[in-house]
Amino acid sequence: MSRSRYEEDEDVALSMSPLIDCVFLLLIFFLVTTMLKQDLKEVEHLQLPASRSSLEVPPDDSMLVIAIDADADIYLEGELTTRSELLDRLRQVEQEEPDRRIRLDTDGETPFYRLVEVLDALNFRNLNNVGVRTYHEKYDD
Amino acid sequence: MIDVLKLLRKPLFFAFLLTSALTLILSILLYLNEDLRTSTFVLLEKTLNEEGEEEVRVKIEKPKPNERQVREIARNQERKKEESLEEKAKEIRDAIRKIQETTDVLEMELEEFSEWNQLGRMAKEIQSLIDRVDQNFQSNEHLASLTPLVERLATIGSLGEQINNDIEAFTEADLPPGEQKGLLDDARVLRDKVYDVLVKLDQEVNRLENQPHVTEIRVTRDTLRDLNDVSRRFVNEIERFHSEEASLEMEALAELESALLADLLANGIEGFMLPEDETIEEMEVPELYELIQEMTAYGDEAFAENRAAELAATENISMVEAQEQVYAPETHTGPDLSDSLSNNQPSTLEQFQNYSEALNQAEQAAGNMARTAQNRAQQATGSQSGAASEGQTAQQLQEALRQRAGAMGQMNSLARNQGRAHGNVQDMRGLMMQAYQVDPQGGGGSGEGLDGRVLSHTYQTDLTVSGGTPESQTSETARIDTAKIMREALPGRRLDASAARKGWIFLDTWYIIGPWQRPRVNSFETRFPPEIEVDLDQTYLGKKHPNTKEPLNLEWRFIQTENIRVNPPDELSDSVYYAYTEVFAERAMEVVVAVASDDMAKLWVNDLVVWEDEGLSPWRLDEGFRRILLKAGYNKVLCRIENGPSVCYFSVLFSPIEGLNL
Repeated sequence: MSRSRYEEDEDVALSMSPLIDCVFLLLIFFLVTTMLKQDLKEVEHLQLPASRSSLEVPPDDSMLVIAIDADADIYLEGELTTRSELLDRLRQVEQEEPDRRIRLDTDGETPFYRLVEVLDALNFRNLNNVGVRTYHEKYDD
Repeated sequence: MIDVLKLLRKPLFFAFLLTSALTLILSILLYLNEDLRTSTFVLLEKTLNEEGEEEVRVKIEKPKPNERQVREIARNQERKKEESLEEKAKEIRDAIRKIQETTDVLEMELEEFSEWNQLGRMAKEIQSLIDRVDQNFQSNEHLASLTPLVERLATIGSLGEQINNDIEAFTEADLPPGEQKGLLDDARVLRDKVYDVLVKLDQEVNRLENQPHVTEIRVTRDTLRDLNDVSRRFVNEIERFHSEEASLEMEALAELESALLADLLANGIEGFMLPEDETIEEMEVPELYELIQEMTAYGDEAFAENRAAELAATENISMVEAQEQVYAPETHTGPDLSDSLSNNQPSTLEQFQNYSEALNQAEQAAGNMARTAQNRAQQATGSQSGAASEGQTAQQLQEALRQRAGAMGQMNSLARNQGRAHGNVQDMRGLMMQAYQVDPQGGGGSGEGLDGRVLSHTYQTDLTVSGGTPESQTSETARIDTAKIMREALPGRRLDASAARKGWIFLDTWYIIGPWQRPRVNSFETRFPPEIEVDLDQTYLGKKHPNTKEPLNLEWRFIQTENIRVNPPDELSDSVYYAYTEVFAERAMEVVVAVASDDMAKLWVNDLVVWEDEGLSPWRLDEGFRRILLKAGYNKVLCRIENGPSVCYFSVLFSPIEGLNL
C-alpha cells in the first residue's frame, strides 16, 4: 500500500505562498477594473474660491448642483441654464423634495449680486440644505 | 525530465508558472486589443503648472470606440432625446390649444357685445313690434278699416324685413359703404313712417275717447310708441356707426387683417395645423425640433391674440384697439441645429461629440420653449398651476372666463386712486374671488401644494361677494402712523401664521426693468412688454439715453433693499419701470396692500389690477389701501412705476387683515 509523499515529510506546515499569490491576483484584478468616477455635474472652468475652514464631505449623486461662473452665468447640474428655468426648477424641488441637498459651486470671480440672487431664491423657496463648495489644499491637492 | 516533474510538484514553482502563464495571456490580450490596452494602463503625463514647475499627472485615456460602436451610442442617445422632444412637442401643442380655447371664448363674448350685433338685436326687436302692431290691426275691425294707416303699416313691415335681411346678410367688416347708406336710408324712412302712423293713431284715440272699443286701439298705440322709440334709437345707432370714426375703425380693421394675412402668408404659417400624437411620434429628431420651433412661433401669435382678447373684454375696447396696444411677445426658438441634427450617422468620435452636443442643445431649447408655453397657458386661463382648468367642460370654461373678465373690468375702476382721498380703503375681495373662480364659502383656488402639505384655500373672514365685512373692517378711510410703520415694518415676502402678529411687511426683493419712455398723455394705455408677459431672461430696447441718444438695452435686474422705499436702478426722468416679485402665503389669505409711489404706479396681483394711481404725486405711505385676496402658495406681484421730472420711489406693503384695524 503506497503512502502519500506528503505523509513522509516530518515538518508539516501550511504554505502561505498560494495565499499571497491569490491576494496579489485579486489586487491586480481590482486595480485593473476600478474606474475613476468623474463628477459629471461639475463645471470645468470654475476656479473655486479657496477656504481654510472647509470640511470634506462624501460625494452624493442625489445632490442638486447649481454653479455660477465668473460671467454670472448659471449652471444647473453642469448645464448652462436661465434664471427662469432655475426658479422653476427650485419650485419643483420645493414641492417634491424640500430637504434635498444643494451644492453651490462658484468661481472666485463670481459677481456677488448673482450669488445673493441665487441664495435669496433658495431661501425664498425654503430650501435650506445648501452647501457651498470651496477649494482646500488639504483635500484638493 | 524527472527534475522538471519534481519541480512541478513544488507548490511555489507551480504558482510561479501559473502567474507567468496568466501574465503572458494578459500581455497577448493587451497586444491584440487596443481598447483593453488603453483602458488598462494609466499614462503618466508631465505638465507645467502655473508657477512653471514640472508636475507629473496621471493621464487617463478612455477607450476610443470604433465606428460601429460610435453609431450604436449615437442611435441610443438619439432615441432618448427623441422621446424627450416628443414629450415637449406635445406639451407645447396642448398649451397652444388651451390658449386658443380661451381666446375663442373671449372673442365669442366680444362678438356678442359688438356694435353690429347690437344693431341686429334692435332690428329684431323692431320686427317683432311691427308684427304685433300688424296683428292688432288685423284683429280689430275699426283699425282694419283705416286703410291709409294699413297701407303705411305694410310699407313699414317690408322696410323692417329689408333691414333685418341686410343686417343678417353682412357682417360688420364686409358691409359695403353703399349698403351702409341704404340701411341708414331705410331706417330713417321706417322711423318717419312709424311716427306718422303713431300721430294718426293718437288722433284717432282722442277722437274715439269714450267709445267702448278704444281700449284695444290704445294698446296698439302704446305698442306703436315703443316701436317709435326703438326705431329712433336704431337710426341714431346706425348714424353713429356710419359716422367717420366708425368708418375709420373699419378701415383700420381691414388694413390690420390684410397686413396679418400678408404676414402669415409670408411666414408660411397660414394653414398651420397643430399636429396629432401619431404625427409627432412618427417624426425624426430634426423634424421634431423644427416642429417645436414652428409651434413656438405660432404660439407667440396665439398668445398675443389671447392677450388682446382679454384686454378688449376687460377694458371694453374693440379688438383692433386691443391688438394695437398689445406687445407681441417673441420666444427665443433656440439655435438652428438642422445641419448638426441631420448628421445622425457619425463615424468618428469628433462627429459624435458634435452630434451629441446638438442633441443636448435641442433638448434644452425645447424644454425652455415648452416651459414658456405652459406658463402662458396658465396665464391665459388665469390659473396659477393650470390644475384649475383641467377637466373643465367648454361651458364651464366659458362661464369662468366670462366671470373673470367681468370681475377684471370692475376691478380696473375700483383700483383707481385718482380723485380719492388719502387713506381711502377699497374692498376688492369679492371681485378677486370671482376672478379666482373661488367659491366664497371656501374651496377652489389654485395655489400649489408643497411637500405633501395641503395648503388651505379657505378664506377666514366672513366674506360676501358684495364685500360686507365686520364693523372694524368697513371704514372708508384709514389713518396710519407713517413714522411707526417706517420704523417697525419688516422686510419679507412670506406671509405665514405669524404674519398677523408682525403687522406690515414690505416687499424687499424685486426684479426691476426699465426705463422705457413715458408717454405724455394717457400713459397707462401704453402697455410695455412686462404687462403682457414677465420673462426674466428676455431683454428689450428701452428709451434713448439722454447723453448718447442710443436706446438702452434693458434686462431684469435683481434688487434687494433694506429700505421700504425702493429706488429703481438707472433712474431717469420721464420713464417707465416695472418691478416683479412673488409673495408666498401659507394659506389663502385676506390682506391689505398699501402702494405708494413717486410718481405714478399700477399694481397687479396674480394678473389682476389692484392699484392704479395717476398724477405726478409725491410718495405718501397712506395714498390708499386695497383689501385683496392672496392665493395659498405663490402669488405674482407686478408693479409699474412711472417717473415724472425728478426722483422715483415706490413701496409695496402687505399685512393680513386680522393684523390691522383699518
